[in-house]
Amino acid sequence: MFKYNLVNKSVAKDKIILKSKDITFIKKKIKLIYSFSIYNGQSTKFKNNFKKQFNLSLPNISEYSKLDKITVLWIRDNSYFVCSDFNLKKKFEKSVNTFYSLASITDQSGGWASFFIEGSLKKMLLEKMINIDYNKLSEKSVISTSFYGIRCLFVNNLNINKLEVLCPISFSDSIEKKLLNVINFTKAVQSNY
Amino acid sequence: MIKNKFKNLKTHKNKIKFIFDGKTMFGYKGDTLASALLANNINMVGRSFKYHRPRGIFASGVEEPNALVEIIEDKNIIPNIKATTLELYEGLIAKSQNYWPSLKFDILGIFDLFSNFLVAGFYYKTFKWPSFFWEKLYEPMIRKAAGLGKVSTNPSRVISEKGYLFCDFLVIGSGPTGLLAALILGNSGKSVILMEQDFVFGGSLNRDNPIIDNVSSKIWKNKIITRLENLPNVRTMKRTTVLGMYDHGSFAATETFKKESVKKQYQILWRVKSKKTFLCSGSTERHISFQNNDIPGIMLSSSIREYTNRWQLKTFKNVVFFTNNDYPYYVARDLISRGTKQVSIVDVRKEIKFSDPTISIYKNAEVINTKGKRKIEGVFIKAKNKPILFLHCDTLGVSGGWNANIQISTHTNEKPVWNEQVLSFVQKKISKNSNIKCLGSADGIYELNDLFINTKKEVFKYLKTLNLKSKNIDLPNVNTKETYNIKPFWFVKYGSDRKWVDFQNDVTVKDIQISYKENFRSIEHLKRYSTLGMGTDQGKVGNIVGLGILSEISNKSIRNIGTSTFRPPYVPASIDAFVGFTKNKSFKAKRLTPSHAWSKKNNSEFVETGLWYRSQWYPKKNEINWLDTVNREVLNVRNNVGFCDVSTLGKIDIQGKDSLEFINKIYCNNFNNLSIGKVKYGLMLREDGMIMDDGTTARLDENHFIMTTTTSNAEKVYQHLEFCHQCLWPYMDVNLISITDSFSQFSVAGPNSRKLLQSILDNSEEISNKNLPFMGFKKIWLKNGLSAKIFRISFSGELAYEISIETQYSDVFLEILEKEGKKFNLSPYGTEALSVLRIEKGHISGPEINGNTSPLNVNMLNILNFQKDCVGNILFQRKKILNNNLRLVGLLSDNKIHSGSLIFDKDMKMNSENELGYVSSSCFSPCLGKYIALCFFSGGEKYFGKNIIVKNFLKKYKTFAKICSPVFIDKEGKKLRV
Repeated sequence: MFKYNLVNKSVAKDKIILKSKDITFIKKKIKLIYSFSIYNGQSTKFKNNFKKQFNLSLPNISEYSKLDKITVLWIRDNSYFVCSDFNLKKKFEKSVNTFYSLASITDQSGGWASFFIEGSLKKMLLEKMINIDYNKLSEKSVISTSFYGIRCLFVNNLNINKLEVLCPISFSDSIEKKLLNVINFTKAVQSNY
Repeated sequence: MIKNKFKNLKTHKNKIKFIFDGKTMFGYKGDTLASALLANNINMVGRSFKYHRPRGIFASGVEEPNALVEIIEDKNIIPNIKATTLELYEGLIAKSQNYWPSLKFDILGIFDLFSNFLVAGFYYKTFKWPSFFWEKLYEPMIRKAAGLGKVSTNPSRVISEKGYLFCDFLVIGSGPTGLLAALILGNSGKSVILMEQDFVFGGSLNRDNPIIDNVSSKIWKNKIITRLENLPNVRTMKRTTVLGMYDHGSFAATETFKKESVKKQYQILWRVKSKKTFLCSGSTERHISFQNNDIPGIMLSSSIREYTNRWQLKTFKNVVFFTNNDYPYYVARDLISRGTKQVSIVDVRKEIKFSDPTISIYKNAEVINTKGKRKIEGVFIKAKNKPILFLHCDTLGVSGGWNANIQISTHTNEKPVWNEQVLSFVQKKISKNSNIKCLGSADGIYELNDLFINTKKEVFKYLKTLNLKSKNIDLPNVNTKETYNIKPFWFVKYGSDRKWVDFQNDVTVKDIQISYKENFRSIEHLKRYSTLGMGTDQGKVGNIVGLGILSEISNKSIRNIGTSTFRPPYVPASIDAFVGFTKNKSFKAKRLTPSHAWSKKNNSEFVETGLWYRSQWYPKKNEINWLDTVNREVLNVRNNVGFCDVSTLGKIDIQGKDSLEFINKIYCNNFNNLSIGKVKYGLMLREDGMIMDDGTTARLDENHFIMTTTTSNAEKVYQHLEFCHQCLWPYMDVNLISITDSFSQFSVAGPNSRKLLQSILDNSEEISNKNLPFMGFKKIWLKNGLSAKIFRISFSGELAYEISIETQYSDVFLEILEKEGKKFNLSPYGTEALSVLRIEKGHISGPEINGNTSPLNVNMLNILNFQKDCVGNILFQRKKILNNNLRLVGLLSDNKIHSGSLIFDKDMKMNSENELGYVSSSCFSPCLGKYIALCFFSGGEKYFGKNIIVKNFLKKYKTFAKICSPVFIDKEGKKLRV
């Protein structure tokens, strides 16, 4: 089922929460998220089919892979989130249908809120968000960690000043406030560094 | 008039206005409040804790025991801030504390006259008689008099955050040791963090001002810092205080940010993880105890040096030093070079190397008393076999030796050892696996040259053990050599008992003697009995002096006495730093339902259910109170149709070829007969056979199920399922995905619920009684093209459906429901009405699944399948559980029944022996016009009709009630199947 025009207004469009010269903070519109959990003994078939359907390899542990509009996030052993534009859902479903015997699939699109943070303050922000050594992360990493007591996914590329934060939709208001607080705090103190 | 001048900061631009005790004063950028007060000739800055004696600035750093002030910002008061570490800022308003009515004339100074009665431990011997005075008089009086500073009840202005830092090497302290160590470590290429608690780097270099490599220490220091800041792998942090060391190389540190205005202050609590830490925290000078050694104008000699060299004060005109070591001689030279006219040194040692015609030296002599009350006027000295001499002075500098600042290295219970040579506790020889190493004067090395040699050697030695290399750097050449020779000397025996050891808590030599006499002889007992070292200065200047005195009294070496245990935080830390962002409304995260915005618009009152904000009821204008609203909502569901957002229930998607077997093992009732398109009630047990949770599971397909849980147990059940899958049955091919957030779920309940839903469906026949019987499930299409899942299940006992729709379409679904619902007078209902409805129907929920109930207690033994292997089956069959005769029954009463009340036979005494049961849930039933309850009662249904007493001991309330069936409405369940 796909009805973009019926999607909740709160997730129909990007919302710019903060925009300044060193940081931009946006609450993104709904994105297409499918979770795939591979059945026992189907890994090889799944990987091959995945490559065939999306022309993309599955990422390693705690990493993501990306090609054009498809991003694949490693979530846990044999479990991935495949993300894309919500507009592409109809097209996407055709590919998804080829996986039903290989993995359990759930549409998680409405269950996650996505925030984008972009700017030169990214590293300073990450220090206040994740309890993992930023410098030991791989180039394209997905960090599942507790932020403000809530399990969030941080999707980070070391080479670019962009960070995506995914959180369960029911927590989106709280996470938005918390992220904004961290950003404002960092902006206020950055001159001390 | 300001008497200090900074060479490079003379300009008007750097002048800072502040207020102290109502008087406007000026300081300069880079001043602390203490240095600015001294420059403004303010000597008295507070009153002592117990005796309210005048107190002046004693030290220049975190060891300060006296100069505690209140900061006032609008209506906010922050008490007990050390003036010696508070960086001066424009608009600062500070106030001295602990007096009444004024600092100069403190009436409570009368306590000093009764000092003989207020010695150590006096409160253990007084305030005993008469006993009824304690609550009415003694306690309120003591509470009023006790404490230091006032706490504000206004919200803090500080904006706090938390963060995480990781490094290979952490260097604590940026004095000469820290700078050298950081440079060597930084050159190895590994990540280094250098933390300094002060607002300038340099540590003792700022105070002692040695010449290094033929340049001033300031130039030398700046060169090193520039080199460090140019290394990409080194991070330097000022205003960052390490509070404590924890296991596995973890540290806590607070970083504060310079206050540009009074409006906001920022601070971060860092959690630092380092592979190896070097503690270069230097050392702190201690004093010597003698008669009246506590009056304003008496300071540590090192602080006199710091105020002179770092802040260039010229307030010390006539200075006497009292010492047992070499240090004050160098301070004296500094003073003279900066224009101090008169300097004298009273040295307890017989043999002294120093001689200087500009300094009057009194060998083998002691200061036995001082003169002055609010400011020192002079000292009385006595040399052996000589008469007592009086020396005028405006300042007395004391130096009893140096304590290595090893505290942080002992936080994980590693005991330090006493070094007899330098008369300080130092870190004991460590194993190579230890996370922390003390260096420099923190390791008892006080001479600068030796310090550099030792630091370079130790750091390179450590790097070698890791096969790391660093650029070889030339050892800094110390041009001004200062020696450290010390004779043990703790207190002057001559004179009265008024010899202070701990200035903040007014602990004297006499208190230590009394503690010893009364058998509080271990250092831990002495500390607690006398309160030595228990103030905000944490005994940094007085503890070792107290230890030395105890050693002399007891004739035991300090090595054998040991030291009390140092615990974090190293310096006082505000609770605000630990709380961080989670204050006020941000105390915890909020979880909002898909209908939250709609409910808010429709006047809902919300209630916190864990982290969720759920609609409790939807009041209308004409309703007097919440009970009116709830009664209306309940009756609307019973007679018409209502809807409720039940999205908070846990929803777990279970897929895989072993999913049926998995579900059968999780639930204690049989699921083998659950066909596709059907829903079944499931009871989940813990391992011990007690009920963990209940819910429904729908079969969507051959190997596809959706399980629901209660709201409060959603996470717990999901964890339980994961545990079972990963640990108990890892061979099972089943995947578990939480979809609680991905799908919103609405309950539409009441006799008109089917008609309402048929009006919004594409094909109304889909949900006819024939096509969707009770406990059935279907995928449906709405008229607008949206698809949804519909479950015909009922918590309320009425004809009801739960519609599950993807969360992103919840708004449009609510719009449709609202629009079509107008024809049926549809109204929403909240959690309170939901609770009344289910109690009327006798459905169990959280209060009944309280961790102490088994399937037997809730009358569900018949659904249990003893033949199958499932969680909890075996232990449920224990005798104690099977013999438990509590059964779920109903109570009916004309009067209110409180949940948690106990049940008694009306003819028996109401005590614990005669308890017959307890009430789990209660409410007013608008359908029956009576108060009803669900309770657990011994014996169960054979007592239907019996009258009993329900008593709530906490609320001191009791009433009569009748035992009846727990199903108050539609016992046959006809309404469900209509």
